[in-house]
Amino acid sequence: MVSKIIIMVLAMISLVFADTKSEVERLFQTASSGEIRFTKLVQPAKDSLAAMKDSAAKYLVSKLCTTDAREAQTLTEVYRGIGKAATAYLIAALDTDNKYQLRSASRCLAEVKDSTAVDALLKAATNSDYTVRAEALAAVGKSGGGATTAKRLEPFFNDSIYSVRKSCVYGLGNLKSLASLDLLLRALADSHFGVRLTAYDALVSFDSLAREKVAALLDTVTVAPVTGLAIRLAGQLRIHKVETKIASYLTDSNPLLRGWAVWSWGRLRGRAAAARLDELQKRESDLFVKSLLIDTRAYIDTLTSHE
Amino acid sequence: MSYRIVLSIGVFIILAFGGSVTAGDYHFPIDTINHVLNYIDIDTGDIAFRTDYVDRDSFRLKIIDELTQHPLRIPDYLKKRGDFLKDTTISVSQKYDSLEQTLGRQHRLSLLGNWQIPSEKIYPAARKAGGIVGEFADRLLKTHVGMSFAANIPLTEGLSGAESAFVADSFLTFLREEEKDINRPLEELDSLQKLGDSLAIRFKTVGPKISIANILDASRQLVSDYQQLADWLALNKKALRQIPDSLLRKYFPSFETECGSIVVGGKGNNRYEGDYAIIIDFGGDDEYYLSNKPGQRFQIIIDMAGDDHYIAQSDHCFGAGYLGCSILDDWGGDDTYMAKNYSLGCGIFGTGILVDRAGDDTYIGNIACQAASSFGVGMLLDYGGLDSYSAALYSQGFAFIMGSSALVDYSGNDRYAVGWKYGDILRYEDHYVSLSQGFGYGLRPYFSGGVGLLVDGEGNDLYNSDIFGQGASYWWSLGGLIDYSGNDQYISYQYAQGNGTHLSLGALIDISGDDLYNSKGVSQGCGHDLAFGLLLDCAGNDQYNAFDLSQAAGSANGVGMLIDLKGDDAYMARVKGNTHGYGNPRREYGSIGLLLDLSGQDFYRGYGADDSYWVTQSKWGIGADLNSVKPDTAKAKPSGK
Repeated sequence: MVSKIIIMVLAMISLVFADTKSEVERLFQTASSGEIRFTKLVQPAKDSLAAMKDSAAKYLVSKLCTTDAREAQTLTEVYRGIGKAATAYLIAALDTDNKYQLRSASRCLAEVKDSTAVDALLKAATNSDYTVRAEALAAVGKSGGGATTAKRLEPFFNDSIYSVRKSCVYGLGNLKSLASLDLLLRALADSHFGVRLTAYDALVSFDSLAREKVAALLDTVTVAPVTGLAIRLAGQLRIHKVETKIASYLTDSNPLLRGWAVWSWGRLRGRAAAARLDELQKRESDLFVKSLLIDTRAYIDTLTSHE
Repeated sequence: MSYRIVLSIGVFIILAFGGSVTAGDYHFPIDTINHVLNYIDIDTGDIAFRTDYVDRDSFRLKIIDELTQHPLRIPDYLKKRGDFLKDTTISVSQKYDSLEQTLGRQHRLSLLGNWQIPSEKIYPAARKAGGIVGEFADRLLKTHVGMSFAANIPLTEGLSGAESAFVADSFLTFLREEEKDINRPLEELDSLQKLGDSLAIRFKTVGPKISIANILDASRQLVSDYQQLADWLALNKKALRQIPDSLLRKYFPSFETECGSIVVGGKGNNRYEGDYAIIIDFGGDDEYYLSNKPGQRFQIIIDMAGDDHYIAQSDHCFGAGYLGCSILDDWGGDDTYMAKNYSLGCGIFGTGILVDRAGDDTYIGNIACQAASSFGVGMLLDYGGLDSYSAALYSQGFAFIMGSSALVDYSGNDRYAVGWKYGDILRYEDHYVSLSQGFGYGLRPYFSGGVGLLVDGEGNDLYNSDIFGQGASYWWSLGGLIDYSGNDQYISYQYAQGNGTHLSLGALIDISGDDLYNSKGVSQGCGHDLAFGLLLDCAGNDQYNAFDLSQAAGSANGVGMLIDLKGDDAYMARVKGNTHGYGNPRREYGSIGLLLDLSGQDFYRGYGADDSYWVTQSKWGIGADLNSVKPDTAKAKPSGK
């Protein structure tokens, strides 16, 4: 009798699991459908999967090796909805040689934002495939962990592939460790625009914490493109202590530096910059600088008197 | 053999060294581009993509890799290709060679010299008669010998019987659409997609075994034989047309060969039905109700005059090589070509060439028509007249996997229309996929695509497509549309007019004329997803209309450029936030958008303004209206960061 009950319970459990699995399959098919006719079904299917939490997270792992872009995107969105309940399954999924799975799992972990995944992601970031390294590092940056994680992320900036360096720089921007500022300033001179400009955005995200270092950079930098970025940062971060330096660039012979100095001058001085800008406008002949003068003058006009 | 060697060397020299871009309105202002990009800390050295974002498949073309790494070389590349293809002094076979070379093919010497077939039964009376009749018979015999040789080259060498059958039966599934897809239930569409995936995975194993060299050897042989026959016919046209029809019937009765029938038609109005190896028709308004017999792989049709009707009774007709090579050359008259699928200059595992030398012509087809190719060459050359081209999908300079295609129309006010049949079930309920008009297409994520070109010489032309078209591309391929002159209208809806989507390259170049560009989005110089899209208009007072993500828009790490060199232009964009030099972020960094207008009094609705620079609030974009077309003193180099 007891054995019969056990068998019945087991049978019911397997039926429930089978049902859950087929339900996940059915919902995933709908959720990853790209056709416009089924648009209204897509979001509810994604929401249902996310609401299933652990049970969906478990079964969807088998989909992580997909080569289909739409399916990969759907997984990212569903795992974002599931949240940290998915972390253990996704970490386990990183234990593979399949690069599609490694990339998808990293992308999903980036959405889950769980610092307990950092170790596994950093291990994935040593993969021989640079696309895996880039995804894993971007996920590390989004997973948090502050200065400790940032310190472990920094060595990856030596990668020869720009997209890996870009992910590293992006992660450092997210983690906001003061110790990373020197590396981010160095990244402003990277050989790839994606790294340079991501470093710029990362420094902007540090806000007031980056002011000292950027001000120091302005005193030492000699390469025009990096100087241009440093001038822009001075305005963007409102580094008032470099106003004199920026003022000197307002008459620089290089229109790139002169133009961005105008832009920053307006942001630093606000309405107080108007007179100088008007004066500059009278004798400026370079079209780029003239355009930024007009643009900055218009920006100033939008400011209220106390800004 | 020496003929082929000289031809090959000639084409190589022209392509490699003789391709200096001709003077005129065309100019690609590389230094100015660099100068403007520098203001946002980018330079021309940054306009480059890696070739290894995804696993390399067996069919990636070398030229795609080269241009992916150097997208700013695309305009000169397309101009050079366009100049060559629209040069009326260059023969059809040389143009074929240039398309074949796009496939990275190494020339192999023909073994025709050793090829022998019993020839004593082929038009013996005509050959005995001598004179022009005898010479003509000899020419036909020679052509037949070449065709027989080509037909005996094993096109599926290396494949097992089952694999050959798979290729023959299943490959076209990748280039097939059904109108009823729009009504299929979700589960059925899902299972169809999975079936497609399984076919692609199988083709991954089988495809690399296909001998593209053998396919092109066979094509080259037939093209060479066709060219010699056509040249001889042209040289002796007057004398040939003096042969009475009665004498032609006497000396040249229909003749069966192992390649099919050889038929000679007189100057009267003739009607041809069935399938043929060779048809030479001396004139008259003829009707061709032809079909493609399975296994009938090689065909040459030359019609020397008359307003002819070509009405296909099956797929693969009229200059359509499917596991073979077929050439149709019509010398004059206002002709009508009505085809089904894979026709009118379509080469799939082979070569298809359609040449129309004069007259106002009408071309109608469905899928993969009017210069389309995969594992081969598709070419349509129309030398003049007011022509109308219409098709449903994958047409008008379309190239799929290992494909090289060109639709070249030399002059006349022409109309190109594609779409309105197969619904774009992914994006819209009321729009249709086109993937045509200078379009390169790969099978994502499995196989890279080819190089598809549409070249139009003179005339005020109308280009009409819907979703994907007009110098555009998808997945490791290149699509180019180059229009040399005339006041043209380009109308599309999305992914068009100089657009690359998903790791591909697309460009539209219009060299002169007052042109009108209309498209809703992802158009007019837009690169989406690590792709490059360029719209270059060199002269004329032009009008650009778009709704969003267009007119120099980089999306998902792509690069989009709209460059207008001369004229008083109007740039109208409904959404200011993602046009006129715009880039958006993806993969934790941005894209690049650059709008450049180098002269004239211009009007902007959107971000841009006449006589100014503007740096858009995006990641990352810039525009400049400079009023200064300056010759570049040197090619721009990265600024040494």
